[in-house]
Amino acid sequence: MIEKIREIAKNWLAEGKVDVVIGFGEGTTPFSAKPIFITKPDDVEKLIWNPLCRLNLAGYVRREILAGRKVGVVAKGCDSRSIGLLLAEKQFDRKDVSIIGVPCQGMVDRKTLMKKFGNVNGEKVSADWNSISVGDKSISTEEVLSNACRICRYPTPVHYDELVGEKIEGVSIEEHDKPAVEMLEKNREDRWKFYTEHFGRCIRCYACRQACPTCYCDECFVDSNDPKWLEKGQHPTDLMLWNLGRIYHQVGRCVECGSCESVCPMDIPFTEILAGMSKRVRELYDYESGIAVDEPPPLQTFKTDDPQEFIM
Amino acid sequence: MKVATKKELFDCFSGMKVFAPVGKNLRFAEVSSADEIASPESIPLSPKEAFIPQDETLFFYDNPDDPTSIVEPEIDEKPFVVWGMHPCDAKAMELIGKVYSEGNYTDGYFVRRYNASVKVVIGCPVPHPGCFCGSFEGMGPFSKSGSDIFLIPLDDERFLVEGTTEKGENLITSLPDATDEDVAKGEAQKKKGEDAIDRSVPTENIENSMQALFDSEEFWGDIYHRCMGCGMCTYVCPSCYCFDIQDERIGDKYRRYRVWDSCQFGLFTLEASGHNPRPTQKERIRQRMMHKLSFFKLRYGDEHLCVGCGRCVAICPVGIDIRDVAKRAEALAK
Amino acid sequence: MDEKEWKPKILAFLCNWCSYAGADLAGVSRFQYPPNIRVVRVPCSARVNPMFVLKALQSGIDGVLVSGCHPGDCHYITGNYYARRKFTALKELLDFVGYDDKRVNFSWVSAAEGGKFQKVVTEVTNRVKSVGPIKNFVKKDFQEQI
Repeated sequence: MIEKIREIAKNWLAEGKVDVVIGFGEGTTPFSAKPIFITKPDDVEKLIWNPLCRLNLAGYVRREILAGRKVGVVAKGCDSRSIGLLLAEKQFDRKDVSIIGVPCQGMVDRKTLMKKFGNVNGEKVSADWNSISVGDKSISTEEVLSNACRICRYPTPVHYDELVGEKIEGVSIEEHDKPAVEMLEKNREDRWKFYTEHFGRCIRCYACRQACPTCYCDECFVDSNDPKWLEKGQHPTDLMLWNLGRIYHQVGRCVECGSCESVCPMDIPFTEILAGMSKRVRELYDYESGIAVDEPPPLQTFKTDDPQEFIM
Repeated sequence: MKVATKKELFDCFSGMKVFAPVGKNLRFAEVSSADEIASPESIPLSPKEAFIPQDETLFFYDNPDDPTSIVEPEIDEKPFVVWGMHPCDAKAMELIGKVYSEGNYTDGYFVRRYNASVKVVIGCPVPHPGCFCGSFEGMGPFSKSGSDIFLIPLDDERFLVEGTTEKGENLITSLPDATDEDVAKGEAQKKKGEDAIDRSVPTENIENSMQALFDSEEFWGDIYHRCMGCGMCTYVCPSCYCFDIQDERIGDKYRRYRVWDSCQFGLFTLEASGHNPRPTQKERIRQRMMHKLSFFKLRYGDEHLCVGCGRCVAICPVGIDIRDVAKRAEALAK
Repeated sequence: MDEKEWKPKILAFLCNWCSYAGADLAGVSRFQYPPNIRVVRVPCSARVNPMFVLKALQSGIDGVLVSGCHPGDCHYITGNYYARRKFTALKELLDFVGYDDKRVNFSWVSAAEGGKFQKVVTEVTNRVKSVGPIKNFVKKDFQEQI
């Protein structure tokens, strides 16, 4: 599969169809694959495809296009949907990006592997969708798949120019909604306790915001001083405000790639709440983000007969 | 040389506040018993938190127009213990001290905390992936610089304990002396760490090599494209010391406080005119690398600001590796 | 603070063209309603940023009411349609994290509905009274340092 990806990338670069191909390459630290930017046809050999290719590349796509380059990208299901969402928000045109779609069997968080394997200084890591092994220690990949990938509804890219590999079915709606449904089964006080405890660990590093392809505001609400929506310190209410505010801005836009949860140094869980929001958006507005590119996301539009049960 | 279990050593500090890594994310917080002190299993934040808190009050005031209404916060200057530092962290605090206490303007908040602290530093027989402190001259996994009490782990339960300053020595007088066997074990642990540590990162002349590459698109192009500007490197780094100052109001009381800021954030160098001298990630990631491996040594004398702790290497989500940057710079300079 | 003495503080964002006028009509008609609301007049319910609501709660406001024109009657034609979706999203989010659902309230009140305004404010005040003074999510004091 990787050979086909490299071949397409090489052709596109040689033909001048794209100026740069964004994909993943080998990292220099254990269990990491790093995003790489290939500009020369021969460099396509650096491209890899394995369960360590965790992050969402759509943010880079936007950045490169806005810098004036024609962009090619090796996209998983979530990358492709994020590109769809950015198109729906008119960040760039479809013709600006060429997508090598690769159906994805799920990715693994580096943090999870570092915990499982401990200190693997210098040893060679091998990773595929059967198992991940270091030296003579090996675990099944299925066991360590990231939370967001376990509930992925669209592992096969919906937007692509070339599709490499067999289409993969996403999970059912029930399976996707499970983490949210289980969270909602807790009573109110327990939910509030859960979220105050977890959001209360936030160190305001903003890695979640930077990793997210749909967080691209020139001035984030948290950086605004006039009006100052929230303080920058560690007061628990400010921590709650930051996280709630960021998630509010994701409602109807998030594609649940899980990058935010994957990069968070404090292991704050986002899968349940983002799944819960996308579930409600689907139920209320019959919308799943990143699929249709010609209609705006739900909070940027309306229908005259929208539900309004809670309004007096 | 003394020897002690975690609990025995902890008891030497009775009556003092002890800050140690706790919980699953190893934030530095006050602990009341030795059992609360966590063993590392996740990527730890650095102990810089104990000296430069993430959210630190500078002063309170009632009237923004009246400077005499300023009330300084109470900084407890009683001695307190910071447990769980490594040699890299202790060195980093010394380096921050250079910035914050030399010259005409000292940062009283940091200096008072630093002077009041008893730094319990633990040597590293098994360096983590990404650690490369041994690449810096005079540094290594058992360097005692910046410590008050130095620990060498013997096995899971016991440490060899050495008071490296008078302050530290006075606290451990009640501990039993180490046997010759213990001392030998300690030497073996020390050798283990010093053999294992990465000494391959070129730091001798790196400050000049990097200066020469300041404008090189080829050199910086390899890393800035994928940098997301998340700033996690600066948050986990023990020698990153930049901060942002904010004012807060509750009712008719005001507080001026500072929080960690990061040169990787887009607005870090945004000026009131709207001009930003570091407008893209290229300038920002270059700034960080140059500061750690070039500017600081050129400005302050004989040491680099990077201490080789490896935390940024371990935590960067896109695999930007400062060791790799140094190696490539040295190679390109030849 | 003695719970018996506590009087709720409720912030009401009222759109200028409908709800504010409706409140005015309630006043002119001498309809009695609990005096605990403080009104902020906005040009349209769409002007209300969900951060207003969250920040109000953080500052110690016990409850919030946002009120606008009935769908179809917005002075700016479509403002309240957008607002409706925004508030839905906010409600869903607060609900998911387990925040008290009685503190954040929304209504449509037209300029002719003085009576409805009276009912809405009475209902909202009762809801907020039933959950007591705000304790979660309020910033009463500056954060303590190490």
